[in-house]
Amino acid sequence: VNRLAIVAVVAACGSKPPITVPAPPPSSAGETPIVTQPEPTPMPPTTQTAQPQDLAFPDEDFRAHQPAAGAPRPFRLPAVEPFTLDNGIKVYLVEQHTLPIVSMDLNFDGGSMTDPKGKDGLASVCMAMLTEGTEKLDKIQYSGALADVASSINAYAADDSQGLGLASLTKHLPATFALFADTLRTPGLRQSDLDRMLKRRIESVKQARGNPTAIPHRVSGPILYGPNHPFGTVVTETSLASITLDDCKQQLAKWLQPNHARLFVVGDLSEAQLRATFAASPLATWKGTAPKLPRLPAPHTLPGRIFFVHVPNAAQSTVMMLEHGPMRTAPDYFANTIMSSVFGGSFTSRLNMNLREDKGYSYGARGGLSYSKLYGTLVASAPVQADATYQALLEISHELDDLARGKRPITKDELEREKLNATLALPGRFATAQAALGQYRSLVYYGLPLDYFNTYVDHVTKVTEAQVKQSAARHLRPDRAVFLVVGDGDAKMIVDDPEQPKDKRRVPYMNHDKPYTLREALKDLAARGDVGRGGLVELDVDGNVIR
Amino acid sequence: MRSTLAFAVALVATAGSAARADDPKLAFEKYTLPNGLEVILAPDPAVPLVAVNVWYHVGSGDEVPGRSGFAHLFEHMMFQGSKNVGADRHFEILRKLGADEVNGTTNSDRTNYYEVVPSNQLETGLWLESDRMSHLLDILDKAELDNQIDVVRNERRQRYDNVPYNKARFAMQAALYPEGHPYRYFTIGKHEDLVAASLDDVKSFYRTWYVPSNATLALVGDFDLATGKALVAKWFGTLPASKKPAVVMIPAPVVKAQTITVDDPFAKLRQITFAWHSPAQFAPGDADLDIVADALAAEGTGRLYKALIYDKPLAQSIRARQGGSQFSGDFTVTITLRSTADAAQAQQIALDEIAKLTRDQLTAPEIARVVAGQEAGAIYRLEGLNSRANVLQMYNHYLGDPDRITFDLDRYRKATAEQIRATAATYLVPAHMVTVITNPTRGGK
Repeated sequence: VNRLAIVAVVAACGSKPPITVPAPPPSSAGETPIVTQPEPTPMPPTTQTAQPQDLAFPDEDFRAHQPAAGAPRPFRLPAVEPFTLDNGIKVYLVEQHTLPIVSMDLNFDGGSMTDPKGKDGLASVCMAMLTEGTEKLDKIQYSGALADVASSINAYAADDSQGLGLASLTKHLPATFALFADTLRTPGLRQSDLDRMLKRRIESVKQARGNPTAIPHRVSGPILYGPNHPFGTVVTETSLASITLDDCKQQLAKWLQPNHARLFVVGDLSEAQLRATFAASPLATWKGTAPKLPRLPAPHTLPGRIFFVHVPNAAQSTVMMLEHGPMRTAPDYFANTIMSSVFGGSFTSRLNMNLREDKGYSYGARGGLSYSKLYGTLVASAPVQADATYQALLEISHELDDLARGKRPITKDELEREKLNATLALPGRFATAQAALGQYRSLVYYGLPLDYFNTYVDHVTKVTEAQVKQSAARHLRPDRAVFLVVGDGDAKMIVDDPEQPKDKRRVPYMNHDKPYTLREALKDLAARGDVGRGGLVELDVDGNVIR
Repeated sequence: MRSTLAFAVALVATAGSAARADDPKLAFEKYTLPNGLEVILAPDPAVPLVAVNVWYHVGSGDEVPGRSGFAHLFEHMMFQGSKNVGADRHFEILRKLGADEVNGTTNSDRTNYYEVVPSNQLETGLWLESDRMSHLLDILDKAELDNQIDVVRNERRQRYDNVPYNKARFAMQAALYPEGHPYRYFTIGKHEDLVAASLDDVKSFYRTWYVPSNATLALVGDFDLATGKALVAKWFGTLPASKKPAVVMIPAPVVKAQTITVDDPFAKLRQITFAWHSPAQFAPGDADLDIVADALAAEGTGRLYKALIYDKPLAQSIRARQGGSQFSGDFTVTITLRSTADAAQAQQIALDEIAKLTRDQLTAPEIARVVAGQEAGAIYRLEGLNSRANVLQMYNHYLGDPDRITFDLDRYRKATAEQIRATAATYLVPAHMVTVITNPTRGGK
């Protein structure tokens, strides 16, 4: 390999003429490694040859205003035609024939909400076992067979479902689908693979406990749902170590049944081709029905108002606000969506404009309503620099209060902006076949009709200012909101002083003659009850109450 | 060995010629305005959307000492407003249009800006891009710069400082690139350099690098060619002619073998990284080392995966990567160890496997898998309009021609087992290997 050739290639293209010649490649002399050498000798500072150019830019009148929009081009949503296979699998197919690719996702009820107490992580482990190989192929052979045709098969467990997906070039679909069928019907389920997986997952739990940005996800479930609810459990070394191969065989046999399962397909494939693919595979004779998902107990948010996890040396804290919210199928959904977008749903939302563009505490803050089939939640979240943790919590609380209690009600401009966005962005949500299928998949998940989007624009357009104000008052509930702070309890706090000029607004938050630490500031805030009563509760990295 | 080689060559030749007809082909037209701005137009009426995508041919590799991170900080300033658009209006205007994928990114080589707009709003996309290409400095404001310095420092804290094992990444980079080399502090830069950035820096950087002749505009989506050309001429055609700024290629130094140990309070498992200087993006050897990386670390099939995860319970995870930038590249192998693993044993096995690649040829299936993966990747990258715009821009930036998909794939299809071995033997040598070890430490103060 000759480095001079590199220069020739780059120079020939003319895009970036090189000035200096790169150094020759290192020699391959077989010297032995020398331990702990000083770092490379400093180089003479680079001299850039490019200089500022003083250019006179034109300023024609037409530049002064945003151009008028042209006539919108009509857009037809890509069609989805559901059909049912003989064994009860309901298929949702969105065809696209511009690219020679196919992806599938076979989705079953089940998921981590069905994990027995003490075996948290079971559904996830058992599904992952499927892609450790088949009866015919061990892990290495199985991975090779997929890589040979550049296909992937992925298994997953979500909160309330579990499934198996594939992605393949159309020309390799027969080979990929054959592997997919074997993965599902005759997985290897070897003890040695389970042992290895459990040990690696136990290591992952250990690592997650040290990761400042993984901890908030670990403990927010226990806070919002309580430790006795299936959504409030935490995967631990003990729960993983208790999982056996028999547990997995039972889990998979129970939930991976075709009747009522959902197959989402997108790509270069027709209904007839899909039916033929199934008919010619071991899945043709596959029959069975899974039980109904269990009913869940009511969630109980942990007692307390501010929850804190101490992470020594954290460069940033995560500040979250959490509460339960309306369901996806609520009658006021459209007003809720507009309200939620204004609160924290985009770059231009109040949370981000405050914490990022005004205060500069964060690279980005977001929040709003989110949904699963069984619950709605309202969450706001921002990673913030350590010293601004306390002030950021106050800001999130203020934004919630101001919108909820009408101190700074939604403006006409915010309403207009979010209504326009919700309707005009619709084609973008269907821009690729994959994206379109995602939209239909979400309708299926929430039990909404597949022609839902036919009336969507109409519903959004009709939302009134009064409805959005009502939505804010009804669903943003400062009395029910709890806060989670994950950060360094010893970090010294600043507060915002709006009386000061813009570059001097951050002033030390003084407790008599010394600055408050984060832990002290939170304790004080909880005692004052400014963001609600209930006190400060310190948690460990598994969500257990320490004090 | 001889027969393996012959087989490999034959396989590549057949697979290569058969596959070339299958290579995705993008219809586009490229031209250059008299002022030097390059334009790539790729109409596709499938959905009523257009990706508006501008690449400026400047990145953190063009920074000067003391201003690390500046190219990226400058990217943030491009969203703060320009004379005719107004301050802080970019995101709001695009939100009201229903635009998607509104963002910008910076790497060592280039900075890009993009938005996917409904096709009847193409002109607003062009208005926004032309105004920040021409009238950014008119409303430049110190308070906005101070705010974005805070924001970027928080981006660094969020994506680097607060993330396990990133101390090792910084240590590795500092070992590979000396003080004075623009790759030393990654694109994100040092906190103290970010704080030092001034309004004069912003003005000077803009006037030097953001001239029309140093940019390429790509439009991909629902417009017809004639209208696209007319609109580009309206919004960009009257911008003044400028000289194309020259890029100073800065060589990578020769590095001596060394071992660096880093204490990391967020790491709970020990990690070892081996790193070498390697070829630049698209330079000879770049594709060969992509193949080597896959042969080492792909899940299941990778040699280190098999040796350290599957056969012996030594590693938690394995990564290998050829990262080619414009001036030079780095090849890294990262092994995160199980808590019970014997580190010396794991290290020895890994180094033996790497040494084997410099002596013995890869098997034909190991190479063919990477070819298949690259061919598939070239197709998957064409799914979204903006992704397609970035593909055209990427080939245009590095190779001077947006239409280089087949050339790119041929690098893998034509790679012979002997050539790959020779490349590994040239670069992956003990004498120039940087070893970085992350030691988990207790976090208590």
